[in-house]
Amino acid sequence: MLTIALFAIMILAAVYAAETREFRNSIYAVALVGVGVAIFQLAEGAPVPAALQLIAAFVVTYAFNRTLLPKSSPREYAEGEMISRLVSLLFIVLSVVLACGIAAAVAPMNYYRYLLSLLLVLAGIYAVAFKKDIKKIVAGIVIAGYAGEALLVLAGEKQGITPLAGLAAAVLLSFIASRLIDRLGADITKIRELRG
Amino acid sequence: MKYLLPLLIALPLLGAALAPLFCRINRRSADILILLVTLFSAAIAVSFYWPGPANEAIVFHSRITLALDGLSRLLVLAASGVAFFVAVYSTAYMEKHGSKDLFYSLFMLMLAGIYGVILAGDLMVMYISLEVAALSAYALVAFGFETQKLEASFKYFIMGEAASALILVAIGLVRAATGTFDMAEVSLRLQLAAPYIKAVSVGLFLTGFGMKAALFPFHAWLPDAHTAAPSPVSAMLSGVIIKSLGVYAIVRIAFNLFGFSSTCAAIVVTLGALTILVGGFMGIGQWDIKRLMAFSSVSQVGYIALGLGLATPLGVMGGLYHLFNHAIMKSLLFLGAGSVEQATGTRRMDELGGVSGKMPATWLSTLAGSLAISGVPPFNGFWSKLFIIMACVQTGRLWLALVAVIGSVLTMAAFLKVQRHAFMGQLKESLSGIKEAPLAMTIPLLSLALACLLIGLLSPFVVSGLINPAVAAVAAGPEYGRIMIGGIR
Repeated sequence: MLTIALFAIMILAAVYAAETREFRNSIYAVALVGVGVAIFQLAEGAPVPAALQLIAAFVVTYAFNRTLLPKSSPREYAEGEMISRLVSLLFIVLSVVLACGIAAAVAPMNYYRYLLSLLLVLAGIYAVAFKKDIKKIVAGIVIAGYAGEALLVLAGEKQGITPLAGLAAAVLLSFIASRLIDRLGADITKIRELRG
Repeated sequence: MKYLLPLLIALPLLGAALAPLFCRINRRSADILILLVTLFSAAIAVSFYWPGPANEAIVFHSRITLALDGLSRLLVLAASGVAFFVAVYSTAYMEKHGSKDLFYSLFMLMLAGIYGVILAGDLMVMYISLEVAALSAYALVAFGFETQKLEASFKYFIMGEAASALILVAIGLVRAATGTFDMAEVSLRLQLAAPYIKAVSVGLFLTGFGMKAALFPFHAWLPDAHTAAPSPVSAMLSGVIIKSLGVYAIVRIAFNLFGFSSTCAAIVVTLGALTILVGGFMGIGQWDIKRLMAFSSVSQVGYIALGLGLATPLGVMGGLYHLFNHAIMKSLLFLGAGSVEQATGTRRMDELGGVSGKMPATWLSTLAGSLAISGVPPFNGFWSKLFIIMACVQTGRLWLALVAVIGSVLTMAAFLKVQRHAFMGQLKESLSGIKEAPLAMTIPLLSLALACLLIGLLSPFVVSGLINPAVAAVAAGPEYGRIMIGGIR
């Protein structure tokens, strides 16, 4: 039950990181997912990955604050937008709770925890696939990486150093993204000098 | 012999650490360091073929597990050979680009990661090495921090890290199903795993590594990244990275760990055929030489996937032979494009013309590369494409053979365009002052061109000595586990 609650909070935080207007809140949401994964790893009896994960979450938060936060614009809400956002948020909360419940009910034995990890990966990929803001895309990638770490520990990898690889990727990505925003702005749809 | 496996990874790591120090003392000493590291690596790769048989399994087991068989021997040979020539080329090419110390460090890190992926006998070693190689590659694409480079690097980064997340999830599922990361054990225990776990994890692996290999529809990052990167990096990306981090990993995991199912084969064949056509048609419309070559890489990866996906001995042989050939051909072509760009200041074919008279060595070698990649005899590309087409006919799928032939015609048309617009015709006035590239840049070009010719002329020996041991390793399928456990430890 505690695992389901922890994952529900992390998935909600991941969706919030993608949806919130203010990037500062995204950073805190990503940090919350990072710390949540560390708690999960500790509960699974993997103190080494948990410690590394905690360090990674701290350093990534610091890196985001230094590189990406200065590139974000101040919060601007249009009239009436707040209500529609609240309705959307309520819908998302209900969907997540329902998804976690279904996962717990239908999955055989302990496999529901794998499904929860997969949901967290998908919550990260959601930002990458549907958000136009480069900063949100970076946040999504980092969250998907965190979810992968949770899944590894779940699978029995108790001594892993993979959080360090994730940390290196997150720091390098935020650095490249901040340079790119300086030149071309944060809207990915407007970055079309190269056409794939 | 088994200690050569960790040494192969340790050497470039040492090079990465020492390169900045050597650069501070003297730039020439850093050049020599990088040349020595890549030369020793290539010597180790060659030594893997002697004295024992080329398909002998060698395992290094300590805190990490590394393994060598016929397939990894072939990949190590291709990677180290290309890396050596790219290193020679870079000593002159990077003079004008600055930050040579950083470039060398990242290049060496990337090489260590590539060797790690190829030699991995453990899924975690494979994943960590994959990340090391990929992170270095993202940084190398962004090298110089110009806007286009940043954009290309960011796209590559996002696709690459999304792929890594899927691969990590798949590794987690495999670990959960088998209780181990050791690939030999995994291949044995996976036979007893629940079918749905196998289906989900092989699907995730195929998607993740398919993105790294730039298979259709995950190919969009490749033309941007390969065009924006400095030419030696493009040569490594196209010649080695997409093969070791993408195609090799697919082969190792799909064939040797899971056993290649008919569903998997159908997916790989279909994606391969589509990739040939998409890369071919997109390439022919390009006016940027490197971009054209990048789309050609997409197309050639399609050939490799097609051959492997057929899963017949002839198809696998054609696929692996083309993988080896393409590493040489495409690194040659990208290095040639780099020489032209550095001499003329442009990559656009409509701004070039008549360069062959001023840069004969670059022209001749690029011509050899163009003929080879188009499948013209007696160059190496002819044989590998012929084997793939024959394999398609052998399995009764004539439409696949037709796709392969159409792809080859498109490749030839694209490279004829390069020859006609960039090298032939009247020399433009603005280009009258250009000179042939320095010796350190032309020697790798001529050597790789010679390799294209010799590998074609000596095809029977290459097939029996290098390709067949790799085919045997792939054909072993999940017996890989037993072979590795019974190998030299």
